[in-house]
Amino acid sequence: MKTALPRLSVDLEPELSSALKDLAEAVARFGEANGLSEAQIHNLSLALDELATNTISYGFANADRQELRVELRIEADEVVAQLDDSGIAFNPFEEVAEPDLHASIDDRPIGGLGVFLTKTLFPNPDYERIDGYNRVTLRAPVKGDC
Amino acid sequence: MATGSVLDFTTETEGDTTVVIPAGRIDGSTASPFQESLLKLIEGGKGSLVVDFENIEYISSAGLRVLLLAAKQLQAGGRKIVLCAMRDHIAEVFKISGFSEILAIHPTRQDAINAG
Repeated sequence: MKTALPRLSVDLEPELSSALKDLAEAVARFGEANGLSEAQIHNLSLALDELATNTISYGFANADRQELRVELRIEADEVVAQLDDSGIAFNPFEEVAEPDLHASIDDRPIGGLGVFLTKTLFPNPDYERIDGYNRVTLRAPVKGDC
Repeated sequence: MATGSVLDFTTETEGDTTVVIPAGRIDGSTASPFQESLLKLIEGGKGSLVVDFENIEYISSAGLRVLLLAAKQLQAGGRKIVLCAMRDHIAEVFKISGFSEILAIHPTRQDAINAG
């Protein structure tokens, strides 16, 4: 029998390899304990990976501190994923251009897909800047496809 | 502490076609070494490049970026990249990103080799 895990919070190293590994493990552990589907676990992993990768790659360059924390929780009938970082103030959902999905191989620019994937998998993500931290919150119905 | 992760992969050749069979997760920490290896294989080969996803359990946009770069490189030389054997959730990532419109994706390695 699985132990209920209504809330899981993990501090991530500001280094891609260990952060992505710890993130994937945390999402899998939380998802399995709460009966999320494989697709939901995958989509949460992917969206949080994209956001954390951007923060570690770009957000910490001129930051005093390099703190990154993921929190996963169940609220009523929703699964909520929250990523807090101490990087430079940056709202990924406003400041990243939408990719041209129909461009040919030659015309398609390299990059710019991570935020788009996140927004597609989790429509209406929240962004807040609180006391020197960026906070992104993703929500999906517990029983949904996402 | 790990400073980077390596994506294990094997390669096979079928005539002029190079088949790459990576295993594990293609994410921001494994994409760079994977990109280097793919570009070297492209440089050293002359036919199509087949990437078999049978043993890939996960891909993020960092991995899509590497495949697009490889596709551009191959296309510049009149060659192509063909992908195959994707799990459903990976195929979905290709679909959402529009990559399934610009890259050939086949169900099996043999289909991919035939198409290459």
